[in-house]
Amino acid sequence: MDPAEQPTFEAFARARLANLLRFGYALTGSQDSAADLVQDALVRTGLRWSRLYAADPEGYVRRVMVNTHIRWWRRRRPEQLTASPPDVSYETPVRDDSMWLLLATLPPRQRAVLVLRYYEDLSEAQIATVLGCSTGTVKSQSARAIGKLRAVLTSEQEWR
Amino acid sequence: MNDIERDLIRVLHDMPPVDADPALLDSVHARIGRQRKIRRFTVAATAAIAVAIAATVIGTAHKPAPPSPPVTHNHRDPVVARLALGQVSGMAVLGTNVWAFNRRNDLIRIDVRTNKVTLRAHVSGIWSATGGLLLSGRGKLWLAATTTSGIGRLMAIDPSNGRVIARLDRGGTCDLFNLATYVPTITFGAGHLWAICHPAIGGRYIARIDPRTDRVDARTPVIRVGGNEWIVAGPEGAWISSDITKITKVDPSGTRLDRVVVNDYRYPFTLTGAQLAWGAGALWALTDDETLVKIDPATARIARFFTYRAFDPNYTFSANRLVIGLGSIWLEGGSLLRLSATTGRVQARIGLDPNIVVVSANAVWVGTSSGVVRIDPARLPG
Repeated sequence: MDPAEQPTFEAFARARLANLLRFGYALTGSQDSAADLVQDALVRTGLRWSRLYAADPEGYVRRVMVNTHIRWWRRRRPEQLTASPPDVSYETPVRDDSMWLLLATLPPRQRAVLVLRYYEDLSEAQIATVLGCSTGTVKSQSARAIGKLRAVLTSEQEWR
Repeated sequence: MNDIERDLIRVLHDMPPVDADPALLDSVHARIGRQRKIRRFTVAATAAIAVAIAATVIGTAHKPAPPSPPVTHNHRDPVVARLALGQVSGMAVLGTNVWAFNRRNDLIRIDVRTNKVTLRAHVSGIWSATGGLLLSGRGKLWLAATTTSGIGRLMAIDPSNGRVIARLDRGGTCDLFNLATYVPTITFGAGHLWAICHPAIGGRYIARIDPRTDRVDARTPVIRVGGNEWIVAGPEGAWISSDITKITKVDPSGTRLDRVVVNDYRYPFTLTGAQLAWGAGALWALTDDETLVKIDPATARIARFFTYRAFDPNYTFSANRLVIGLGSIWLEGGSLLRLSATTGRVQARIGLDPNIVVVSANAVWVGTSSGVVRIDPARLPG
């Protein structure tokens, strides 16, 4: 490809930013976390742009986002109890939708499988490629996630 | 597409607008610039150090260095047999045979002494998409699967000819629909089969099934079982986990719950929905956050736990199921890991993609999407 015709990283990032933020929001359930995730993934993509632009840079960014999110979640510190709660400067808007709230209770890999399947509309094989696992793992993670959602929803209905 | 899937699509496509702040891109460009500077500096510094070291070595070398010893490898290929049997969903060990059930609904017997197929029998009326689970105990073999009409069915198999000799549909009022999906809701141990039952009417319960008669002979009501359930039996009864309960135990009589595993809030994991296995005299749980937990069955207390930091420091493994045997922990998920049951550290990684793993007296048998693979653990480190 003529170097003059090569898509620049700047143009790619500007064009795909909104979509990537939406994907990050679906993965994390938080706009702030989504912005952090997109920023980290774009930095890694920008550093490798000369090797990525001809392949599937957006797929790479999403793969990095999913794996980074799982890594953050694994490294998270357990909540610490404190006698004096910190000041809250603003209220984070909470989306009042039971399915959305339930999604937040899933482990990140299970949530990622559902987001990639039902938001990105990827096949099981494509999801396996993004997550770096087998299609069997994708199927079992998806079944476990949906089973978990169904159990809680059924349980809620029984209590009503 | 079911109601949950429709709701998921709705909620994911109905997200509020996100704020695509251009300042975020400015920050990205600034960070890339800084990283490139650091890289250039690192490369230059490394080159300078290499040149200095080379000059020192050349200047001080009086005699050539002795030749390096040849590189030797102590372990051999651990795979000792491969049998092309199609996609295997269930496996069990019975005496000197390993049994496999594939997605073509064939029941296959393999002699562990010769690695040869000695019997192949077709089981009709099974929904092949979900596969089937094989169980063994007391010299008998059972196949748990879903019928083409959507009913959970437990079948007793005559191991001499592979024929179905008894059927238990729904277990009377026990709906075993989930028998053959990814989550085992039936197990063998303490001399009995144990199944989680979801009757259409009435509360859920654990059914104990007599292996001599293939009939339910005891029931334990459980109030809150649901979601991804898991049941495993040890010598002292059955242990159950689900998404809405921690691990509980049914006593050997099969009539009452007698223990609950206490999950201390200070531990960095939760036991709800954990996958269970029995082995090496302990109950083992693989949690949703990929922590391996060893539970003392006598006290129902957590004896040890290994986090992914121990068994997966590179975060590259997706733990999917665990099997305990031959003094090791075997973790499935994209590849097969052998872990030390003492330290939780990885001793070997085998590049197979297992659907199911069983352990016989001196071998590990892996059911894959193309057949059965026999692994000799003596050829592996650990």
